[in-house]
Amino acid sequence: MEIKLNNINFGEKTVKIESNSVTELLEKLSLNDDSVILVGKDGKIYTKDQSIREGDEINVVEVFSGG
Amino acid sequence: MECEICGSEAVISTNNGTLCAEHFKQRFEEITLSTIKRYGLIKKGERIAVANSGGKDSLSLLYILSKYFKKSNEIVSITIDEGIKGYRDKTIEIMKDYCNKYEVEYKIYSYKDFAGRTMDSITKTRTGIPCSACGVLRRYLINYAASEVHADKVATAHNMDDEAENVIMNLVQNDIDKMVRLGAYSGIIKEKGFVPRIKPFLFLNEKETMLFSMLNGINAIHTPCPYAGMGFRGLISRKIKQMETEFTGSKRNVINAMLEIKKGYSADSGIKMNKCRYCGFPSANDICEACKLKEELVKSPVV
Ligand code: SF4
Ligand SMILES: [Zn+2]
Ligand SMILES: [Zn+2]
Repeated sequence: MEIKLNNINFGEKTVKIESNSVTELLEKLSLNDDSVILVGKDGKIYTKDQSIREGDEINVVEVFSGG
Repeated sequence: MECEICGSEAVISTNNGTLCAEHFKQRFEEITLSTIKRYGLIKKGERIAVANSGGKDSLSLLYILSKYFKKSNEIVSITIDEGIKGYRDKTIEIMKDYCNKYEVEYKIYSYKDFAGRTMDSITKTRTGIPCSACGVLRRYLINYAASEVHADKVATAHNMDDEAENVIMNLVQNDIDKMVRLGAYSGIIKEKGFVPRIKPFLFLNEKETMLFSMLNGINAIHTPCPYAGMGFRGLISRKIKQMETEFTGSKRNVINAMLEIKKGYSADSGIKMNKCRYCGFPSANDICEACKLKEELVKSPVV
């Protein structure tokens, strides 16, 4: 399944995952669940056990220190 | 995952619960208020300075403190301008908009005014991790600003991640005296000129503070300082998040362990305070760290 991602560091990119799981997506991006908030186009927030649907567009917001 | 309270779709799952957006916002405020209550962080009538960078965490803190304490306490916002172009200038504009909108008194203090140099300039001539110098100046100026605005306490938005990082850094450096000064209330040294620091977000994860600001429509930029993530602290910060993902509750346990160790230490634990020869503020040495750094910066060429 292909998912469109957007992130302040890597910009826009499409990634392929075998399953429809957020956990697999995070592994592919080498990110930890505690260090990221995944926000769908409609404002939906994905938790790690949720499934992603084909065509979903996700904003990968990295959690950072400071502020 | 389903919200543990209402069963609707969860937006977050941490050691503080698995919750939907509404119940998460509610829990976040409850944890903040219970930390304030448990450690007696805010007493009626006290003037509270909120260290407000205009970033996600401090605006969320100002939001909650204004919501619950505006009637019983005076709240004033203090901002330290490090002089980081493209970052701090932006958050300061956001801070001003927020304070103007919600009628919060604010004051800004800058590195440039204090040490004659911006952080951008300091990084050009000073070797080492920018955060080391920045931390010294910020800590000093927060205390200076808080005493200038006659605050009884200064509230910072330090969260569980920040505190766990501090604990681990102090352990690795074998600096237990420094470690036991951490905690929700850092007023262990009772000294004139030291404004006690309080940390109402101590038991909230960084991810939670970020999500809270997003869900409350708090207009904050979600990009880090360009100098962040370097050196030892950066490494620990990344490792802590990895550890928490694999073992939920790790950060909380690190903090609980520190709080247990702290209990065994008396209030003055051998820390003898003098007055800094230059600025007159309390200092463990003859000249405080900030004045020492200022002296060094004045000698180096301005870029
Ligand atoms: S990340 Fe470092 S340089 Fe940037 S504001 Fe924080 S302490 Fe200063
Ligand atoms: Zn709920
Ligand atoms: Zn001094």
